[in-house]
Amino acid sequence: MCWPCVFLSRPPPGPPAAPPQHTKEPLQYMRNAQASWEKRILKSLNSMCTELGVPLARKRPLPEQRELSNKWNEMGTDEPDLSKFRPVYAPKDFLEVLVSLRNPNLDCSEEVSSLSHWGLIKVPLHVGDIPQVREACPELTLTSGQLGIDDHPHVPSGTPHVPSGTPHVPSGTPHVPSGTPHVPSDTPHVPSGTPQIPPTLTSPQVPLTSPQIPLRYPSGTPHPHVPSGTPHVPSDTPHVPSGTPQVPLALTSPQVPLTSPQIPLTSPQVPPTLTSPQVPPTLTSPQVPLTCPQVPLTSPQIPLTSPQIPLTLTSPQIPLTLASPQVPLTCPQIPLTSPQIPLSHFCIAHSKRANMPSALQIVTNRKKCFGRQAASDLFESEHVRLGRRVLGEQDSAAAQQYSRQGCPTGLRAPLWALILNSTNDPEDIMHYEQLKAGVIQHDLVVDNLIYKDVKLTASNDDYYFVFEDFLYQVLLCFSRDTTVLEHFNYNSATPPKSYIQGKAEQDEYAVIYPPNGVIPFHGFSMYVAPLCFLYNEPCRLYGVFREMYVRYFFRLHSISSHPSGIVSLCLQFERLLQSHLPQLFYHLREIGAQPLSIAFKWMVRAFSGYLSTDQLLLLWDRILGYDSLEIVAVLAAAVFAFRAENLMEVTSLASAEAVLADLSTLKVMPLIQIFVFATMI
Amino acid sequence: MAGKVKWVTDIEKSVLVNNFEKRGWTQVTESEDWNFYWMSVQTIRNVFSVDTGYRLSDEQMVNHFPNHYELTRKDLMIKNIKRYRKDLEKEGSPLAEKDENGKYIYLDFVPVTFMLPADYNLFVEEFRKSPSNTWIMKPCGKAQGKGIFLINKLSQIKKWSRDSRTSTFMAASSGKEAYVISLYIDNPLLIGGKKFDLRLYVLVTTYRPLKCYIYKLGFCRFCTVKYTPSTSELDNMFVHLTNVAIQKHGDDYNHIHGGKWTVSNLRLYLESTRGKEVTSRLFDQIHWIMVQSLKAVAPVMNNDKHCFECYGYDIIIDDKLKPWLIEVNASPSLTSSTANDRILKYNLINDTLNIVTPNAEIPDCRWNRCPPREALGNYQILYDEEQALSEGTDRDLRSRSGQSLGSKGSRSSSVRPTPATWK
Repeated sequence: MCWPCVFLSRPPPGPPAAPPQHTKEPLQYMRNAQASWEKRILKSLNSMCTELGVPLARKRPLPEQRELSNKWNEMGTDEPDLSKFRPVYAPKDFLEVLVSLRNPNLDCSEEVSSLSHWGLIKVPLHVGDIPQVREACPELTLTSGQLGIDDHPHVPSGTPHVPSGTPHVPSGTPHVPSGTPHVPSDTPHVPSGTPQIPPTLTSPQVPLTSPQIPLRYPSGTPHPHVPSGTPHVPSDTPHVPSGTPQVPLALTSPQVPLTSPQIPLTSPQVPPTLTSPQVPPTLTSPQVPLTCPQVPLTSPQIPLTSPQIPLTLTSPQIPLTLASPQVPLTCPQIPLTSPQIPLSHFCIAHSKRANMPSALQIVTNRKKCFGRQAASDLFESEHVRLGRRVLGEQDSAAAQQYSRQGCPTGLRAPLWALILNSTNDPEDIMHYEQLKAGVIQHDLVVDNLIYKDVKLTASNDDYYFVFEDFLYQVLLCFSRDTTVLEHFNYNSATPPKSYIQGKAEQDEYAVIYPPNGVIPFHGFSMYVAPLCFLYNEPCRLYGVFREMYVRYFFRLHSISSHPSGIVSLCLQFERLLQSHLPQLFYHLREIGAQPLSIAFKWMVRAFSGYLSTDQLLLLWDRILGYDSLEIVAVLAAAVFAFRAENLMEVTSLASAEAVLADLSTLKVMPLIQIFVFATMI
Repeated sequence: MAGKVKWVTDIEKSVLVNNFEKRGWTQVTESEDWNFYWMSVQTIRNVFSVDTGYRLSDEQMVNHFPNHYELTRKDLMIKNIKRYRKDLEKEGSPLAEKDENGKYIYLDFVPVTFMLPADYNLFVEEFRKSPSNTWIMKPCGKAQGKGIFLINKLSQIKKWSRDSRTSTFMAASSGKEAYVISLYIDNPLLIGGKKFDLRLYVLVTTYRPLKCYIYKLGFCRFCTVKYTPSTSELDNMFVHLTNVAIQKHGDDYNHIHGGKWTVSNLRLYLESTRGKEVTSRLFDQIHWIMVQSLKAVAPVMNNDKHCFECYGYDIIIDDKLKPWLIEVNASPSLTSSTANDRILKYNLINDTLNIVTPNAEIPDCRWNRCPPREALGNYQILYDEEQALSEGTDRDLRSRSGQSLGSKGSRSSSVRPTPATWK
């Protein structure tokens, strides 16, 4: 071909196409870090194999194949000796790598940078603060209908366990589960004039501690170079394609317009009017009175802090420390007390009505007594109806939009499959059967890692132990699925290569190992475990998991600058905490309990294994709905906000970890809602 | 408060003792004057036996009904349920309606069962109808899975037939040797390929009128070994029995979760995989079973005013999501196998005490048995006969029985269509 033809076929000027490695990851230092991390993992895997004298892969002799085939459904009963195998890496090793990440173009002399960012992540990336999250998640506002807000009569938190660090739950009040901040979602029933609310808002600790924070800091030179939000231009990439990772929350997804006609159906305005008998019409917008009283309280602090540090006045933290810290601290308490008002209030009013008496039981439908409950019931039944319609039309984009307000338990499985375009057709079944045959024919070293991981995690888990065998059936097949390799087109990671014996470093003898290119780490099986609650056929379960992995989960253990990448999530978590809970962040940092060192393990698993399953599924609804993992970082920050009071009292990393050890009683949606929409900014 | 409650127990379990101590009650010995005695079933037999002639005062309370065994002994429970069904049939109650195969539509909730040796001939007749069935043999008076075995050939129970022929009288009188034989549920619902049963707690404060409460925090007990209906595994009890007492000795027993799964997990799983309606219907049916079993024994129960009882209901769900009542325990285990188990059982006792000893004060056996809602804790009212009768206008029993406790939205799709009347 002569080159003028090439010239002609090209579109005129325009920017040159980005080289493929840039679509994987535009920042070179990220690529380098990922590459050396991969090298490290592979080395660890290889040295373990050498040490144990086991080949990476071997064909199973026929009798062994037959045996495995026979007990395919009960692999958990097989107890191979795994004592010599160890996970290739654990989240904590990965965190170390992330903490050591640096942008070579950025001057990071410690003194100064500690002023601008207190966290562990030292790379400049653009991550969303609360206003951006609000903008990105309009469906999560306090006034819109939401599944996962009301305490569900049938799904109480799995364990009645109150963590040691939370003394604020009186044992005698069974109506308010410890982790449940009942945020009124679409609830007009908190009377705006109720006297109980202001006292909880004006929590005493507010003004007392905050002035100290700035004082502890050397009033060094204002540090100009990392204002949060400045996108950093990477050294080697003059042509960051527009629309690359730096854009927070890919909100501009095409499905929005498609589904918007349906939104009015779920609009929160409907319930209040229908349930009006219970609810005096004057009770509207509870959040306004909630936040208002703060303003006068915080303003006096400005003179207190400003004199000491005139120089830092321009730095981004200042306005944040002045106004915001107390808001998240006190917010979680509001809901703890407020539901009790209507409790007594409405119970009396309704005890006379005794509507629809039932034979088996009369008193138990106490839930029906509340206007709020009625409204949320109404939202729920309407939402279920809408969900059926979405399913009926098999509209993937609509299902995704729908999932933002949560999927009803009974419809979640088909809705997620629809969103993920995961089918269960004969081809899918055949594909799964082929993978299964692959497992039976060949023994891979990574199988042992999977066994080990399942035994260490899911098998000991109160929620997931039941599904041990399903996990093997999914994960062993996954490791042999070469269609997973496609995701390396947009994953910053590169599939690891091994060489046929004796042909080391000769590319023509290189094979990708394991065949799917993913080396499992400690906790990997927890990505699958919650899905076992939704799908009871291994094939279906497999399809949905694979899709979840290649869309989301891979980002949680690859180094990249993508907004859903683990680096961005860590940074976003730290920024949220530093901006909105500076006192807390400062306190924890002082006692050597960096928040990220606690929250990292949650985020790396997208909270699987930490929350109760019903709550986890509600969280993952939103991951799918917003097509983003950012909600994970937001929740991590919200958890700290919720436990802030207890955390302020701890004096060591161990006790901070103890306060945050049990998340199984938390209700995620109220937590996220309060943190995002009730925090003052 | 008029003085401290003096308590005794012959079951030294921390979940009990901690609850008593938390209330500031005083421990005394059996021979002293006591107010509250949490006793084993052996002790209750002595307390109410004719010989000892113990007379309880108004300020004394015990945790068993004198003849609880009418419900909690496998053979007597079956006998009472059979009698209850016949009585309803005689009255022409619509509850006793049968389908075209002669099976009760609403009262078929225990597997087909016979007493051995007493009903040996009846059993043989039934066995021959479908000889491929597997049957389960259980000694009447034993618990925790002791003495249980499976059979699928008549020859395996020859012993009981001989007894039957020689001396029916003797075998019937020596109750300990008596067995019940039940059709084995060989199509249990499997989760993750494993068999499980449900342990749910029910508190009864009075039988006439019947007032009972269901505890929301029950659990599923899983077998550690994959379930196989194959008859070659009939001897492997780890496959078939879910009792922790049995499973604990299996190699795969896990001491962190103890093979236990909360009922809320079960509900979440079933709603997610099978849908909300069928799940609600299942739980409605479970509640229905409990109420019916209690109503079946209510007429024969000695409704002593000093008594209350917390029962452990064992229920198996089959793969068509039909629940089966297996047995009822009078002394559900208070041993804690895991940390969560301990919390659950501590709370169970706590909530039970809150109901039966209002305000932790010295009990008065003439109490009204109408605890305030705040005192219920994790209990929900299962059935309150008094209240049900006072609502005479609503006579549609069956549509109501199809309703769940606090279930939402499923009311219109009632399970049992024909109207019925309370008697």
